[in-house]
Amino acid sequence: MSLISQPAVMAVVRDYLNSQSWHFQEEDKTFTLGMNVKSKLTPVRLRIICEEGKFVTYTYSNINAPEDMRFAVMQFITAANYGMRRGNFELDQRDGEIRYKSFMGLGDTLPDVDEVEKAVDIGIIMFRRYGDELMNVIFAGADPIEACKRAESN
Amino acid sequence: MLLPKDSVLKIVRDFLERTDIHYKTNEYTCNFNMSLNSRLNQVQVEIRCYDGLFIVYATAPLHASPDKRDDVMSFITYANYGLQRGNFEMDQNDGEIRYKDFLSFGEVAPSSHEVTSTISIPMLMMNRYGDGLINVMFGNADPEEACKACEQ
Repeated sequence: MSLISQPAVMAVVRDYLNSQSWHFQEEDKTFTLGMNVKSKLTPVRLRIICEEGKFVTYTYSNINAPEDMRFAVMQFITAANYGMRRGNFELDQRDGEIRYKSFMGLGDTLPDVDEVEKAVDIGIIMFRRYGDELMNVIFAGADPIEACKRAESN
Repeated sequence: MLLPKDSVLKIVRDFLERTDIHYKTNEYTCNFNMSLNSRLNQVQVEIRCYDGLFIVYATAPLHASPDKRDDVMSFITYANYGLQRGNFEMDQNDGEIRYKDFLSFGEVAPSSHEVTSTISIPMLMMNRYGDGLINVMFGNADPEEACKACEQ
């Protein structure tokens, strides 16, 4: 079985980004763009890496977790990730970088545009959903578990 | 119009039967146990079918005890950073640890390659990181070092 080629995956993603009239940069196998979200941590940055048969979307928070808040952020994202269907939050414990990862496996089958949209947009949606409470954890000392529950009840 | 969950269930069941995996079905969920080449010994696999997607969970047979939960959380956070497909999850209420992968395909039936990958990855990841998890849960292994040892 032959996987969808990397150029074909690039074309699928490029078509979607253009359909949204988003301004992006393209380099090698990666698309990058900035996006405002309705959250205190706006804006976010997207990086979409295209490979044979798949692409991975990383959505980066503008704010890193300071060292003294990293454990609390880890508790928050662990609570958020439990039960999450599509993708997950990641934390780099070395420098506090916070991002959302979404993977789309295509195999040898071209996806429908709705699925591409979900895979690309999910990080934006998750930072919109969890962003304010994530900031409350980092800057206001909010309890991580309670903050996550509040984000999920909104 | 998403692929209906009856069709999704059939895709999953066809894969399990083709690979000779003995499973049980409960409505739209398939369950089976899988042995591992790790001190975790085995995982319980659950595949939940929905319209247009399915989710696979491989759950460890051991829970993280309350005094080890912070270290296990750190371990899975190190492991998750950079993993392309799927992720570890931990329920902080009871220490349950599992690996999740997910395949969404909308109205287009997925390729067999993607079905195979999605169902296999959680078990493969539990196998890869299982010894490290045990070392963190029952030894005094540093989570970061234990994770690096699994990734070598």
